[in-house]
Amino acid sequence: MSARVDLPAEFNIYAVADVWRSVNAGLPGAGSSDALAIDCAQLREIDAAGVQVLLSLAHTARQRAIALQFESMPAFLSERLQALGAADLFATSHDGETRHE
Amino acid sequence: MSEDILDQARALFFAEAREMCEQIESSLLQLEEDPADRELLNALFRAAHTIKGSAGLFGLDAVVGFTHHVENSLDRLREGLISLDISFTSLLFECSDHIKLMLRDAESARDGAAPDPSVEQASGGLVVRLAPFTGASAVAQSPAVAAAAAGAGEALTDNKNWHLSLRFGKDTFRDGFDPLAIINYLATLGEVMSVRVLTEPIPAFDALDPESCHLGFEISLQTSASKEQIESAFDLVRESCTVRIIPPDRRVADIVALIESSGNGAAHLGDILVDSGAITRHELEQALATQNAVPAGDTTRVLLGEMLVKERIAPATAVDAALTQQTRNRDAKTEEARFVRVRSDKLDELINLVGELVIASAGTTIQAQKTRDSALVESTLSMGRLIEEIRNGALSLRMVPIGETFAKFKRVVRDVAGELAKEVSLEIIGAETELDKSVVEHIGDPLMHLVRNALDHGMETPDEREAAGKPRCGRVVLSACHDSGGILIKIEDDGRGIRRDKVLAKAIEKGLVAPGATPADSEIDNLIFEAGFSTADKVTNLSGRGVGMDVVRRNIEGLRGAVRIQSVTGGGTTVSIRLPLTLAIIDGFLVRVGDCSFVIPLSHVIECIDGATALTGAANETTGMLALRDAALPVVHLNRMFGIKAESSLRQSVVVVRNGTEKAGLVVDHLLGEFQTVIKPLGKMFRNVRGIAGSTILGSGEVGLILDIGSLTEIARAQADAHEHQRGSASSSQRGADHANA
Repeated sequence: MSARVDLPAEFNIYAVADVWRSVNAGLPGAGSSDALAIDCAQLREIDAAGVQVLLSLAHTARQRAIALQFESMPAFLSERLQALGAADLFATSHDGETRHE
Repeated sequence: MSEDILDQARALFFAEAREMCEQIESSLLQLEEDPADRELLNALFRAAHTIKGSAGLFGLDAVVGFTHHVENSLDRLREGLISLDISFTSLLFECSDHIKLMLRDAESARDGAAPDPSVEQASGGLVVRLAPFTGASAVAQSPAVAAAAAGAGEALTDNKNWHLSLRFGKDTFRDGFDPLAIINYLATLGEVMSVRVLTEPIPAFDALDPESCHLGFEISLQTSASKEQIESAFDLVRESCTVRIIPPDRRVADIVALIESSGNGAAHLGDILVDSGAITRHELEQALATQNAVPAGDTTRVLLGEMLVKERIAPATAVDAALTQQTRNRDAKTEEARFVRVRSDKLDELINLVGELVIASAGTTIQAQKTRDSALVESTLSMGRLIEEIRNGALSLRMVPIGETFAKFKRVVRDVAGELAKEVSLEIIGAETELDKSVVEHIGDPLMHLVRNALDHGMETPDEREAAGKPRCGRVVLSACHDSGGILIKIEDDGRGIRRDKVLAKAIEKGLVAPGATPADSEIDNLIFEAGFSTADKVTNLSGRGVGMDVVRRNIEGLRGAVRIQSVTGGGTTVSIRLPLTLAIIDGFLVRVGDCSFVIPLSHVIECIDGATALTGAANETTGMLALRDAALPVVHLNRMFGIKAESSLRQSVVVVRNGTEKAGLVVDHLLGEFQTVIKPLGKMFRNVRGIAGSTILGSGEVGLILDIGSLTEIARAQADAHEHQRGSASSSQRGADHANA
């Protein structure tokens, strides 16, 4: 079974608390071998607070061996991650799954 | 800046640059004895760096370019990448000489002379030789290319980017700030080469407070912006954010160079660092606030420099440089408090006036004594004492230690010994001995000749010394001490001594000594001071040209001094130079002969005999003998010597004087007592009168002549020797007659 998160259009300081609550509620536990799909289809804007949530999520997913899957990742998100030196942490395989190294 | 000010600044630069060259030489000499002395290595580097930096200000690209290579080699030496062996030391000496040559060239070019092309060629040669020590490829560069390299080459250092270490505060997001926007702003200052986000401080997802900022970044930024400009990116988040801005290596080197060469006189470490751009004012204030949070005296209170380095606010090298500069500033402040620079002509004027005051005071005392008014006499005596103190004080202003002059000879001995393949060590004694600046200025050249002579003629080669049972390394001692109111400078060597047979043969060949004559050893030794005299088999560029020793004697005598030489065959030679402490004022003893007044320098006076009667010698002879405490003292009758009609009815008096080890009596009419006197030079007409050293004006307005005790004792001694000779001949004839009669 895989969990799914839809990122809002504006994933910034005003939205991070809601997103966090919703993701935290559905985040699979350790050893569940589940995947977490992050749908970026609606995403239009992200700030450093949004990136921080993604960084924490990526870190915890790695710890819990949950496969993170970004869907419909927009180019600007890659650019923002790049600008913050976080692109490597979200390096995705060709099938959109985050590599856990 | 007006032309005048610029010219003054240039003149100051040339003088300072030469001092820096002296500093290089002196540090090198000291480093030969203690190669690990870090302070000396730093001083060496600083001197070259100062020359380069200041030369750049005046557009002297050739000097900048050449000194840059020297500085590079010194930097590597300082870093311990290369060591200072004899060949490197010698090369650095050559470089120092070359810098001086370039400075001279630059100075004359300013005066309209064309630059000397050989100087540029020599630069290229030295740069090639320096290459192994600078780590550069051995390609000769023209100074212009080298000058460009001095500016551009340093850009090729490993770390050419600024490093920013950012830790945002928890409330950054809540306060409405976005670190992403700040990083984007940084990108407008230059090029963000890399960004690394720190994930470790970000809590696990379930523990995350998403509205609190846990972000930290390590950023590499290439920009020409200043630290202040970079820091301005964080103006709005300054309160909640920790920012460390670490300059690129090139910038650190520039900062260190700036600190070392700017002459920043600030007393506080923080101010020096802020002024150089190593830290910003805000960083300093923050650091000081942190430091001051711990009360002064508390053992946990951290020193500012330590804190700045530990917190990576300032590079350690910059803090080290600033601390050194701070210490220098303190020393300079102390030095400044101790010294005032005064133009020497102003000082001369003061001393001249003090001289006139001394004369006026002496005159007043004489007039007061004539009145027999005890209160007036007491007042004038009291004033005289004060004037004496003023005189001593004024004269001491001109006194400088001879050590600076002596120190130059370390290099001379080192170089000359090297050229002659001899091993010689120089020992300096009494460097602190003070004498008048004008005497010091004039004694350098004669000393130079005597020291070179000692090495060239006196000193044997190491093999010859070994064969003679001496240590391979010869010894030259340069000493100075106060003696009999003057200064005695000695140049002693433990060489082969004067080869009298050679000297005598040469003297006979030159017609200085009659063939078959047998002069005394001391007379033979002193023949080397005769004009055109040299026994060197071959002429070297050091000595042996036969011009010099007579000039040495003339120069020393021109300073009212005397030079003597003593030699022990196989044991060494000692040249003694006796000089007056000052050329301006002397304490004299006033005497009268007929209607003339004479002044005898008091330092030469041993005793006075009033009404001496036991004088011998014919009535018309200049000299005679006096039986003094069972010893015969040669005397000079001043009246006969100078053709003065003496008061025949008077019992004559004798002033016993000493010059070095020789004593003589001067027969005079009246003893008038001690008298301070200002020496006035003799006119051209009287300059060659034997027995007179100068003149003075007495309190009465009358002219007094200052006696030259050196020549008078010589006259007396010559006469005594003649008497001795005659007596010897007479007694041997008498013995011969007795023998014949027997």
